[in-house]
Amino acid sequence: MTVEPPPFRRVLIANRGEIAVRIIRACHEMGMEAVAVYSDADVAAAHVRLADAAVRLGPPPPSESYLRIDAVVEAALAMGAQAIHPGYGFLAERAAFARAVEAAGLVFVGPSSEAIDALGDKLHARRLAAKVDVPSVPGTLEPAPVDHPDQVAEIIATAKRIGFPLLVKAAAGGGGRGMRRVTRPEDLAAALVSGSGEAASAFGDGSVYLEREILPARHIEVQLLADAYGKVVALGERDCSLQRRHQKLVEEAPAPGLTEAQRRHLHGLAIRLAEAAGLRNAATCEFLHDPDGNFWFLEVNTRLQVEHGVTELVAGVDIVREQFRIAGGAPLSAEVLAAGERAATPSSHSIEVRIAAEDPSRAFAPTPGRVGRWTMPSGPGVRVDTAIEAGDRVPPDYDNLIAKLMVHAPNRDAAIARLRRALDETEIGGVQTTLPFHRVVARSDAFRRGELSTGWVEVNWDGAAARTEAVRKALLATGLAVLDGSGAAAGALAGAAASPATLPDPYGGGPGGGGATVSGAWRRCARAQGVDRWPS
Amino acid sequence: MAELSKPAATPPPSDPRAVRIRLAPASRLAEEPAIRVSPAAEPLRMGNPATGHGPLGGVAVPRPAQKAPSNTGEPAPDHHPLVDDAPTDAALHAAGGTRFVLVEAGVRTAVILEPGTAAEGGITRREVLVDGFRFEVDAESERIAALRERATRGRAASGHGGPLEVKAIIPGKVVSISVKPGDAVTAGQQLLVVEAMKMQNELRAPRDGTISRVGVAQGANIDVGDLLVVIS
Repeated sequence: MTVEPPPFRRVLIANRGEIAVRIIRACHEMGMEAVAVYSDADVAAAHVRLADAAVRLGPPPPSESYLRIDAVVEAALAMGAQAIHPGYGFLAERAAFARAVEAAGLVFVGPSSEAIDALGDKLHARRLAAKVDVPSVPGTLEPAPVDHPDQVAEIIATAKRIGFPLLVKAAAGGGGRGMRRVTRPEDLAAALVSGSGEAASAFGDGSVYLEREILPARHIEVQLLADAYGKVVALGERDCSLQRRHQKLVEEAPAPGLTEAQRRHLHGLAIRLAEAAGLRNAATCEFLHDPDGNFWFLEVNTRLQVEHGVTELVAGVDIVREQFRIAGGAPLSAEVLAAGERAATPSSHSIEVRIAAEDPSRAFAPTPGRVGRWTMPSGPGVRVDTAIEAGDRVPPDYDNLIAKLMVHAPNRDAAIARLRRALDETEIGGVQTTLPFHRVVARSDAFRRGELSTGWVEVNWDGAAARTEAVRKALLATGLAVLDGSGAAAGALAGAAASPATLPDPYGGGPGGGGATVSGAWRRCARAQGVDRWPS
Repeated sequence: MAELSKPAATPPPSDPRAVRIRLAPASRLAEEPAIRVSPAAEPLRMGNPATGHGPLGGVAVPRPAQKAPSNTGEPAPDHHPLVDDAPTDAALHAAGGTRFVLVEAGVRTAVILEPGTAAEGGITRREVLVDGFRFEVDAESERIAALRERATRGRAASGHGGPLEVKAIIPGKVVSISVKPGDAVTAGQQLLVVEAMKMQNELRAPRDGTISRVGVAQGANIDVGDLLVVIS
């Protein structure tokens, strides 16, 4: 057996956080050197620590650091990198960036700038879908005239034809930014202006368009890989229905409840679009699945997705590694072709939860700050992608995703049980995260039954009630502990009164150590008090 | 007059070892009341007057007496601690280090009580992790809390309905301001929009009133605790 030589010697990763770490890991596994870039907020961040070299881009605001095309390309040239991987977010879907990379004689690890133009712009993509008979969500095909107040009556008339409630969406967008839900015609103008403003600040392009809101619907997307020789493979689909503010919270592969015929049909739609657009490298084709069984094309993401990991686990393919191979000019590997053959008949299940720094009991409001206790789960079938360590700061300047917890098991029920177990091992202090929500998902009968919809969170999550109950327990436990100043409680609770040397290290254990510590402690105290401590 | 007509202005004297527990201001949303936790009434035969024990756990206090272990691990009824003067069957078991198990009616919840630190006014503040939530929780002696309340009662009564300072709860950038001094606002009305973590967050009025001051300008970078708007 021969070892494939690495496609590049040195690669620059134009991103931060967990995805930069994920890509650096792939580089190192393939024998390539990784160059990181960073802003002043990330001087000590994990992606900087892990990379072989790092280049400062500028101050914390993205527009002065991670979004600076010139600085990123310059860093790559100065460090002798041959390729640039953009990750997701930031510059990943900017055709101008791909063009600048290509113009500098470097390889952009992703689709060509033409394909990004054709598919990354949602309006282009909707027009392309119409050409190859892939049904799109009903709506407009041209940007709304935000800068022409005289055309308000016209756009309102169009909106009435599409039907309310509808969505204002950013043509250049992703992750729900620039998106506004409009229920009444009189609110449309304000929504267009504010959506356009947010889109302009997030993507540098304020174009917005209208789309009918399909509700209830499931969000199902297809992972694609394509080589430079025109071969396109669907690795399988993911269900990403559980969302808040149109941003995904939970993703799973495969989408539960689909028949093999439905999967083949869906994968076929995605491949048809990709072929028409001349897609190369990795992309995802997103659809809405309505209760009548229709698939409506939503958009194409011409990049690696946050949730690519669940497909990797089920398909048995390292997508980032394949991205590098394809960028280096290799045809799709035999493993990818075989995974594509199996994609409509998946034989295992994977679920990912996005642990984000936000408070699920306060409408998922962001909670930047410094992470205290940080215990990540481990054990069979558990994968954690993160760039956080205890004591790290979650800066307010960037996306608040701090960890992706993925589980993999032979079937969906086993995956849910594994998710519940892994979440029980997870302990995060310092900043409030979405953990309470995920714990409820893992115990939800509706989720187990596969009753998924983009409205799931509103129906099934009562954040205020969950918080009230947790507050009650927190106060009660504190009260009981303070009253009972004996034993372990004394050492743990005395605080300033105790000698620092005898205090347990609050952040001890480290990643992966949590599970063993918890169960060991439970068994120990069960012996000491003769009590059955099996957790109910 | 109103003060005098109130029945039982002074609460019955509680156990001197009682503690008052509430969320620290940083974790509190609007009205979230404190609880009072007191030890079980000690039968005299136990012979443990428990004098001289600081209620805040500053000193290691020996347990009154080891209860006979039961199958449930829960204390016998006459040992039930009191929560707001009502006996509770809840029990807390140490699980090593800062980990505990709260047992209520057979339901077990893993709880992490981080080491406490002294906050102002004799309050011990600690982070508590339960069911994925994290809170900062304050504990203080019920006696001291009651004394302080008596001292500030007059002030609190006159201060009711006074100006309300709306402060930033997340750091970010002020994108737009929808009100100006003199504007009448109703609860829930949008005051300003703050962009944080690439998302625009609308800040709404917590109650009805008139804007007496706007403390920030559009485009300003704000930090947690910065004064944004005063509603009177």
